[in-house]
Amino acid sequence: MIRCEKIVKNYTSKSFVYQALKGVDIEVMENDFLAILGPSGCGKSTLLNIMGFLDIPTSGQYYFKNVDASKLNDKERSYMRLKEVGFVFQSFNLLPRLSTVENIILPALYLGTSRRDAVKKADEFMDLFNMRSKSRNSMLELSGGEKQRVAIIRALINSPSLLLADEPTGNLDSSNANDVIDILLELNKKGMTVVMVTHDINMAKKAKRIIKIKDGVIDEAC
Amino acid sequence: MKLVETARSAMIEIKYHKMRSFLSFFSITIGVISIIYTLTLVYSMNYRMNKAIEINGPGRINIENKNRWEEQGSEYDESKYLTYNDALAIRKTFPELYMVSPYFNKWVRFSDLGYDTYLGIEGITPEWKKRGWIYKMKGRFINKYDIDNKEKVCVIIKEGGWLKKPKWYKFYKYKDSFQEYVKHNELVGKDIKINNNLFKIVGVLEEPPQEQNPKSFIGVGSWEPNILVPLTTLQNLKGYSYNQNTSAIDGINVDTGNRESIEKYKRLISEVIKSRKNDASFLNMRDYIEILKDQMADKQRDMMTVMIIGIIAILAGGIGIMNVSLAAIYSRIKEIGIRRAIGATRFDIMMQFIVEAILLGFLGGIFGVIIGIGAVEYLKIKGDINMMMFRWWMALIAIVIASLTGFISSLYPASVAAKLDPVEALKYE
Ligand SMILES: Nc1ncnc2c1ncn2[C@@H]1O[C@H](COP(=O)(O)OP(=O)(O)OP(=O)(O)O)[C@@H](O)[C@H]1O
Ligand SMILES: [Mg+2]
Repeated sequence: MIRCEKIVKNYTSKSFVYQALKGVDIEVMENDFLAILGPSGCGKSTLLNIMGFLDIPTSGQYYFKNVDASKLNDKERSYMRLKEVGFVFQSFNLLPRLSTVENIILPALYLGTSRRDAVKKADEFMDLFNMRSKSRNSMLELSGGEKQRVAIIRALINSPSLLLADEPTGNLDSSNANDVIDILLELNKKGMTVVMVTHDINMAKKAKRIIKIKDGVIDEAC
Repeated sequence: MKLVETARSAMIEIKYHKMRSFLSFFSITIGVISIIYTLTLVYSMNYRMNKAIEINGPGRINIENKNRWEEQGSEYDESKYLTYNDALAIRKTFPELYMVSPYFNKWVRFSDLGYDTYLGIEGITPEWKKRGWIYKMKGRFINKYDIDNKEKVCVIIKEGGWLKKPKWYKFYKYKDSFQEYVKHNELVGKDIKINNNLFKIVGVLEEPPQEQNPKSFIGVGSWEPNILVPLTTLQNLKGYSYNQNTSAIDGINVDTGNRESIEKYKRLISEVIKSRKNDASFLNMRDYIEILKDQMADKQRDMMTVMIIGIIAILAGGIGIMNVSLAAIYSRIKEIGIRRAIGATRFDIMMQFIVEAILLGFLGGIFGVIIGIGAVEYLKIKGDINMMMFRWWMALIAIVIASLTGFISSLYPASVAAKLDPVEALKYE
């Protein structure tokens, strides 16, 4: 479903160029569950951002369902983030002033869905993830595990075909972390393609496939 | 994102920062108040001006003696002031003129109210009728026969009263005993006593109700007499006037019929007077638009001041909104990053800031309208006739201007916000 070809990402500061990714080739099939493993600073997030149309590679090609990402303009890439890709972050990235349900329906509203339909869909998901009772709560009133569940529902609300999770368990204790992994596995079982970044080998082992990255290149593929 | 949703999230943002929002639209509020005041005033003055011109005729010229307000004793000879014969000469020389209406005011003793009082009465000719007829007439008007025979007849002007008496009226208007007398007596056919002479009341002119009386809007010509008599009769009546000579008149109102010919007739009339008296320098000829403009000049100055304050306030409000929006961007970089990450386009982000600023402007406008209307009502109670001309579309215009100010001042901050790099913004803490 997605294909990275010789992806290079350079960060240019005033005097020097830092190469975060040095030519990465990855292919992810439909309904795959890929874990990207690697030490801090090796370029995992950078790679995931490129896969999620958030960032643009300096060189190399990224294909999403055979669409060349480099051919898309900002608006089209926004649409891909909105419709095709769901993002889950380590630090949740929820809007603190909005309630659970408002956070969840935000992508649906950006897509132009009516508030009624969006809330209906959000309610179904919240039932599924045991979050219904917290629907009106503010983000300050939620635990880390609950926040991550809200973030996952938000990522799913527009029915994306790819779920990208950047250390989704990084800020959670082990029980909550296992819950989140279980949710991702469950989604994968139902057909969702998942790419998860982690530096925790135990979490990575639950995926169908692991790719190790070191210093911006693929170290070994399992 | 649907506009309602954008507006909804903007409202949340505004509510969350109540104080900040209030401070940023406060100047707009002041601006809107002054816009409302200025618009009302401009509209009212325009209305009154046009109405005054309409009532008085577009080609109206007022001719008076320059030294009207100085004591003029009988030592002056006829070559130094306007006389009734001058008016007749003008009429005769220019039969094409729509109106040549000489007038003369005198204070005379009037004794029908149970006590003696001095009242101003006006001597006129039948041409007076052409100066803008707004009356309902009972009986008849003064005619040529009355003039030729110096008849002791008079016509009385009765005030129209109010359809609905305004609250301020009782503070504002002294009780006019003569009008009270007129109101409560059937007058046509009766005699009244002026200087011990019996004058027959041949007609009563009733003004329209105050609300519909253009004169109450015009507010020009401060003093209006209530009793009209034939000019020739008044000239021989004892009383106080600016010029004690029996041939004298106070002035002549001329209507050329159109605005274009005013200058021409000013010149021609002055020539006629000159040929009669070898001198026309004592004449003060003003066309009506000039007079109106003079009378409105004060108000216009007030208005300019208020308008300038308004413009400055609106500008300050705009800059305030811009400043607040810019500052808000830096505290909302993370939020912008999150929104971008989940799929918001640059346009979505821009709209968010623009809609928020428009709403701020709009709210400022609403506040301004509420306070502004309060001010208008207050001024109305104080008796400011101009404020009666407030119209709702003025509030609408003010709100549109306020919202537009919000819109314009948000463009720069919004474009700054939209240009943020999503990845960078997301990393921002
Ligand atoms: N804007 C930037 N400018 C310069 N260098 C950057 C920038 N963003 C990231 N980097 C560098 O690129 C490298 C890869 O960053 P990235 O965030 O992808 O690492 P990561 O593998 O996700 O690490 P972590 O596990 O700590 O999240 C890091 O060394 C980082 O310092
Ligand atoms: Mg990372």
